[in-house]
Amino acid sequence: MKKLLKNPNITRKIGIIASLLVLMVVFTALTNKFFSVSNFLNILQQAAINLCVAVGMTFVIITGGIDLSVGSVMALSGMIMAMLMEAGVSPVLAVLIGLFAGAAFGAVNGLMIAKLSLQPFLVTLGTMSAYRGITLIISNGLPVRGFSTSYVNFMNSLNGIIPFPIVLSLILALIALVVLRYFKFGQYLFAVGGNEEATRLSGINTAKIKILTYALSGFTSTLAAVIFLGRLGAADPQAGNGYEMNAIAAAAIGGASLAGGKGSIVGTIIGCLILQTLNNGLTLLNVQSFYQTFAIGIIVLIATIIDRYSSK
Amino acid sequence: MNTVNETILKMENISKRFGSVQALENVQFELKKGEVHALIGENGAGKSTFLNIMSGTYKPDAGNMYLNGKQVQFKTPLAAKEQGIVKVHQELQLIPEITVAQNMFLGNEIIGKFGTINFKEMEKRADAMLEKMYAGFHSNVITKTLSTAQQQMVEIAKALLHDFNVLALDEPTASLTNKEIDELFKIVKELRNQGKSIIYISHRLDELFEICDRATVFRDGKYIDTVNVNEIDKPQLVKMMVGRDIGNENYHIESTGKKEPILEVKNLSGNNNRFNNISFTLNKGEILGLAGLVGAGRTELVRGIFGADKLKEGKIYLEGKEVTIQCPKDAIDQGIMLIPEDRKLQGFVPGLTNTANVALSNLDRYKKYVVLNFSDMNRQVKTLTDQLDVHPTDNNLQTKQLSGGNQQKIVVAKALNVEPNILILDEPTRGIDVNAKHEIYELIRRLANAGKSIILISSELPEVLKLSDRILVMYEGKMTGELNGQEATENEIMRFAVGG
Repeated sequence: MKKLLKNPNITRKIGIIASLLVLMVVFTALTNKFFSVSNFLNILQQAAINLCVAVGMTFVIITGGIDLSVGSVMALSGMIMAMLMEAGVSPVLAVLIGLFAGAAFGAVNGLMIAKLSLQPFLVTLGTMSAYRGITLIISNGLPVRGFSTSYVNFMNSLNGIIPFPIVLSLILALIALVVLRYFKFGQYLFAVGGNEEATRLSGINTAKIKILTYALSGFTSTLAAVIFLGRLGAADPQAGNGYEMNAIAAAAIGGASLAGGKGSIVGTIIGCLILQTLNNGLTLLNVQSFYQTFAIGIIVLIATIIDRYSSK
Repeated sequence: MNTVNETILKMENISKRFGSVQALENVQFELKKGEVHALIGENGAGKSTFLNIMSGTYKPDAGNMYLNGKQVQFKTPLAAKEQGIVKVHQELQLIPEITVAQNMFLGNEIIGKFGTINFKEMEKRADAMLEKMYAGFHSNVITKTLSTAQQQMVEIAKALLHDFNVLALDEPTASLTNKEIDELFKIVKELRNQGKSIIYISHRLDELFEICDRATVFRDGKYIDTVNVNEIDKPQLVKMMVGRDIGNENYHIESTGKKEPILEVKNLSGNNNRFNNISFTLNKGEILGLAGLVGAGRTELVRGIFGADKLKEGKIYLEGKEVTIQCPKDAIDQGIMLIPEDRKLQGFVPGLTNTANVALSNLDRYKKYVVLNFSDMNRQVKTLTDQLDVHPTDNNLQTKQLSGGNQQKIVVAKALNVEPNILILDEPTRGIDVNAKHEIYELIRRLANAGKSIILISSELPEVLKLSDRILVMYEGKMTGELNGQEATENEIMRFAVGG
């Protein structure tokens, strides 16, 4: 146990879990609507979309990159799936095509970053706008609803005791965790983020790793779109606006470093939960949403400060 | 030699611990006015930590520090600087995109009438200092266009701009050419005559005899002794550093007779004309030295062979068969491994553990179904790091926590872990202490004896001469000479290295 406490990664994780618990205790004390199974399920369900996006974002951040296009990819691949279903394609096939398209959108980011040596921030800033533009063009700026009943029924049919979005996002996070820890690919992500040139000279195809990482980010953003369509029953061309910020915030609260080489899925999960719990609790307390935005900003800053001084 | 006996700086019972590593334990140090005082010891002996405490970068866990008899404690490097203690870093700390003058005056800019920076005056003063050092370049050039050696000169010139009492030079000659070293020594001697005190750290012991008055030896974070340099010789000094005798070993062996070519390159040319039309053969079990001045194109050549940079033209044959190498992975698959020139930038991933770094090049070997088998990995890496005597022995430490010499051993371990037939070592002993150097020499010879073929790049001629069976010399991207390693002399090599 002593040895565990000496490990800064473990102490950090204990730290953010403690913060989440404190948050929960405070909200439980302030409102009796907070502490209930149904509300916790509610939090998890609301956190599911951000968790999907944040898992991909964590991978990208570990390689030392960033993906600002996640919200736009979510809107675009969501729109594609919706239009396919509207045209009569079955939900399962539409989702498969959408996931493939989302991964391709991400891979385009990765290709430009890895092959043309462009900066991730600028590339994804560009595609953030470009993908959003395509979404608006193909939808004429209007939501698509034609598919809604069959898809929503399909999604609802997947709900067991625990709603499907929660199951989906947690399975995704679990797979990501295993890949990051026990797969070669995971080791390479940390190596690329820590020192790309040394990794390349070690005989690793760093370009391939980066392209794959951004493709995964596009893929997980599309999973978020799958949940989003089911929840809303419509594909909104403005969907996912600002989601990149929530995903980055969750990863950062969870200990990921934008300098690369550092980050964890457990951290990101808790990061998502902290953000969502805060949102949920403040809403239950009828706090104006302006204050919620402010509170999230403060949480991110506190996490950054703690990170800086605990890693010293 | 100046024999002013006034003490300017005294440090007593200094201790510092990083995590589980006791970097310094009760060490002492005394610096007199107007002396050049060498601080020597192996990598990991605590020299850098000590300098960092002296210059305010680290806070000591215990101990006292006296400047001119008064007790002081520096909270920041700036505070130390204000008291006249200046340190030139081992690693370059210049900003690449701005001019030399801007770098030299960074944080100390000369401000003109309207609150604007007076660039003219800054460049004038910077140029005067550079001229005094015979630097051969102007202060208005962008820093990144200079060579490493030139940038090192800028670092030193920057330190000299400040009025100081104590100047610490940490490995200042590591990347300088002989001429530049001569100029640096002249400056150091002049500073001493002005009554300044200089702390000098270098792994090149011969230098100490040339310019130092006294030497203090650290070993494993402990103080060993302080001696007058003119009362001691090199073997004695080495013995104090490593705690045992190291002779003047010769690593040559009797030629095995039969020459069997393993690697053959024909008419290789690199992009940007860094090397042109290079052809040579490497034999099985041979150590092939690649000599030449800094910038002769040796590094570029081996990077080209290894696939780290794209080749313009030329062919590579392995055991008679032509091979295509387009990236480092191709080379490794063909049994060629490179230990790169700059270990920090190219050698290892700082945040990964030693185990992860060593295993990085062949994670496939540790795969069990689709996941990695970490217990296997830990065990195999441990065998390797034990063989190389990596210290500390805990492979779960991040490689960045190790000393320079031990970091290099991790890079070597990674290379050996892919079990290459051809191992290319680019400056494998740069910035490494005598003991670690000796270990790496022995290792290179052992590998060659075991039938591995070695290409060795080194800017230290004695090293090339000591190890190589055959020596190729490069000058401005061309191959200018080939020498028999056992018969070659430094003079012969130098003749080819400056163009024949």
